[in-house]
Amino acid sequence: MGRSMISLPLLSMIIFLPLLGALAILFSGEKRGDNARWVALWTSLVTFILSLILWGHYDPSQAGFQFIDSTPWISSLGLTYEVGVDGISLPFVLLTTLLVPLCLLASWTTIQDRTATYMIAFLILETFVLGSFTALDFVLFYIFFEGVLIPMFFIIGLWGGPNRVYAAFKLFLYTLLGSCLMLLAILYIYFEVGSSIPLALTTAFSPQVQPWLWLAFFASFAIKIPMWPFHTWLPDVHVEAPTGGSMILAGILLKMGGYGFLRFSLPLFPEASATFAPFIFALSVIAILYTSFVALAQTDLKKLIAYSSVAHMGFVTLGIFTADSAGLQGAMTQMVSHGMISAALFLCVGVLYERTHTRDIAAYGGLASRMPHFVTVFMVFILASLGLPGTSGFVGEFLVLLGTSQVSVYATVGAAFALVFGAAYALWLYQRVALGPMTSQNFRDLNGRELIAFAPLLLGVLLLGVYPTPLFTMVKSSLSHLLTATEKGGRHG
Amino acid sequence: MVETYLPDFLLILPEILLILTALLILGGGVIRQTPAPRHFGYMALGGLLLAFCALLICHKAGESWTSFEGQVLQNDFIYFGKIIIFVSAAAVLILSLTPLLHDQLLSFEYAALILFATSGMLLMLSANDFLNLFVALEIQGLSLYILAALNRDSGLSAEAALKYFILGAVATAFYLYGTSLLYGFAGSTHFEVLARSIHMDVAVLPLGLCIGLLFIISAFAFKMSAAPFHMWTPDVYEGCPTAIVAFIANAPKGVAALVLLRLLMDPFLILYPLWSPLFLGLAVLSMVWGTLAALSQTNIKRFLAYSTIAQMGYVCLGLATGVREGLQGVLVYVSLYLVMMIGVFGSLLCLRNKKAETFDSLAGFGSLHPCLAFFLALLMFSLAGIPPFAGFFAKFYIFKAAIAEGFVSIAVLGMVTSVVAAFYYLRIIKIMYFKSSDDLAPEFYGQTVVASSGMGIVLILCAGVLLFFCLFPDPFLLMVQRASLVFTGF
Repeated sequence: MGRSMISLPLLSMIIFLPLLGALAILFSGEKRGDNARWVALWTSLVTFILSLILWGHYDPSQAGFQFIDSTPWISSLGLTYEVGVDGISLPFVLLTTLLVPLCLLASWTTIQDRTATYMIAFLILETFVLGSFTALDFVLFYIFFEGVLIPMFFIIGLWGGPNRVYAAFKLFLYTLLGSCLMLLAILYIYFEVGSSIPLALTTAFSPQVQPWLWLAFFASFAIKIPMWPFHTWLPDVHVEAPTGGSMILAGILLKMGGYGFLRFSLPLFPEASATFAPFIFALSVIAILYTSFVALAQTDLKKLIAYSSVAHMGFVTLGIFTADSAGLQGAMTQMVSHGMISAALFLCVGVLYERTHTRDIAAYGGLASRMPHFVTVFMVFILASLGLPGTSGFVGEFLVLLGTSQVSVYATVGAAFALVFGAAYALWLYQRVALGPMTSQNFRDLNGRELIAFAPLLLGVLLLGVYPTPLFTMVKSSLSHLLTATEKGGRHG
Repeated sequence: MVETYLPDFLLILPEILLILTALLILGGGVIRQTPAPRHFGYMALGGLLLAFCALLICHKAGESWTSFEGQVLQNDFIYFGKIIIFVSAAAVLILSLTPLLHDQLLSFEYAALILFATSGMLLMLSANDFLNLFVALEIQGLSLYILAALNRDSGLSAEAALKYFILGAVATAFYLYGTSLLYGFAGSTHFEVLARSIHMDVAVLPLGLCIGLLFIISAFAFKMSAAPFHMWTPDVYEGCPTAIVAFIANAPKGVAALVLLRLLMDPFLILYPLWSPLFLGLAVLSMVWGTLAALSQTNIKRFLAYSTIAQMGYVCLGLATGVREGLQGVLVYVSLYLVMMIGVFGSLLCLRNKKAETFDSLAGFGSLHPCLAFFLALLMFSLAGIPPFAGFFAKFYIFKAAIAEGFVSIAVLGMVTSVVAAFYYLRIIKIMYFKSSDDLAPEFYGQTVVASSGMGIVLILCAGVLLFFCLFPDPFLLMVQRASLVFTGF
């Protein structure tokens, strides 16, 4: 439980503050959006500060949920509004509240058309994302999880590239299909258990039902995270999304899949998770190898980073289903780290795109002489992306491989082998963009706003790389709790 | 004498008041040579309000009472249904006055016919006898057929009305034939007598009973426009003036579903094994056919017709469960669906452009009229069943009951069709927001919005109701629960 000195519903405030900000912008009725930007930025900053306070009061030695806010909501259905954080959700809450202001900064000048609407969409998105990371009720989780699609649909469809409508539909329908199957599983559990609160779930599902329920949840999360072969929506959507949309998509929305695996698949269906683990390993290793190859062949900056995201998420799924403490910790670290790295890389692309209006890699070259600051920042993130020791990328991938080596030698070798390709496409990208002959005189170096947007990410990536202990403490007891629950369930079956 | 008959009349006081107002309007319309049609609309509204008050005053909560020798019935379920009818009829009436006036279609007949149709629907719910139900059905049906032909100068409208009338007559014939078979079986058309005479313990069910039930279900499936009895819906929706479609698509659909629910849960509950598969079939056909056909539509009203068919599929799925949860699901679904349809048609009625009936005419609507477009967009998400909007909870209820009854494969199918359905609901949003009005053909320019303050209030109320339902659904769900307690056969 949260410390008693906090009597305010801190978590609910964090979740709904962005929504309030959105309503404020909506009812101010301002068309041009100069104030909307500031209102949105301040709202998201205050949200971030509140979540830091939440972290400060969080007791990492306890495994259970803290800061629980609970109100009956639909009593005839037994649904409650209940939110809380534990070590698994807190890092994502922090990541979300950190990234949203940065996304808004990244969109500061690029979004000139219907600015107020954009800010509203982003703030509503933040509420939904935070809600889905903290919901303790199945149906509430589903509502937030699915609600995320609505602002995202508008962000891509209204401010995206030329093929934006296609991308928006693909994102929406692809994800909706997965979610609907999950809804069926949720309804089944609801019917079986008679309550929809995962906290209260101690029911062991019979071995006949478990695989089906597991698959239904898998459909939703595998599409969200995304795993090969369900990843095809991601590159299309990234290419069309505006910079802020790409950042939040790669930084946060993909993590919702990983979070779902950790929160639902593993503890609720331990036997099915164990049964399907080799299948997940195979898909993950294929994802890592295949998308690394595909990334090598890309000529579009955003597509390349999108494919690299799929590879990195492969490490996450690998780590989660090892059901090993190092693997799980690695998966968590990898998700947080990738959240910052991918957001930063998409921000890099956004910075370049703003100047040249092309994402074609061939159009760039020799930036090092024109944009020294940018190139330095870009290098750090590229190195972090390929997992250089000293950056957060290394910690995550190393722990995942460590965990995997306990379980499957083939998967470890495959994934480790793929690291080489990861280094290859990342370094080659850097070489093509930053080095070589200069292609244009038109490159201004980073301005103050962009530097401010990069700074927290840079700091985070390096800090997590050399001193990951705060994150480890945060997640440790919750993960070990999860692990014992999983093992107990596995033995029980 | 008065004392003995008074309670009888109290039960149907709302209907009596409505018919009296309608007659007054008819008389007034004939006598006055320079009519101000708007005033007849207001009179009709006043009549509805008066009758609604009568309903509220005369109802005794938790009690079930009959009158006229058990010919009509009143209980919590019927009360619930009647409230829905009143709300829907009044809302559509307010929404329709200005648009009809603009199209010069508003006449005193319109106001009177709306009242006749409403009283017919109220009687349909109250009826406790198949012949009574028939009379009520016809009062409602005939008023609707005439309303459909309101635009006398339009060939399309006349064609639609004729189609509606002929197919409706066939459905009525089905109904009557079914009733006669049931009479042959039970020797009475009274619901209670019928319920007493149906036993499942006989080895073979009497064929007359089964076929009679089948015919009656078909007739109501026609009224609900569930596939394969949906053929008339797209043509009628497309041909009739939008204001009339708004009425036809609203309360009559809900009433058909509720009366069917009442028949199934009360006299015919014992035949559950017989009708449940039938409704599963109707559900599958409606969901699949409605969804697939809606994909390729370019006319908004035709599209709404097919989307209605698909939505009725979910209602049929709820009916097929034959349990209290399913019943509650149907009540929630129908009421929310009607509110959403009021919103959708209300938004469409605000558009004043002759070409406003194709999807393309909505292009750029998002920047043209942000408020209305935003409202319509939210309604589309809601109709698609995307949380956190009200439509999601409606679907949630139905699917919950379906899964509890073990109809998992049908529920999966329903989920898949709802994803496909999301595609076409999103298409409307896409056209409103992602397509600028620069892409428009010249004839679509000048999409203007004309709305009376009454229309604005109705739309705001509609949005308010939907929002309130998402946040505090309990008061409404309590009403649904009370209505469902009427049926005790489970």
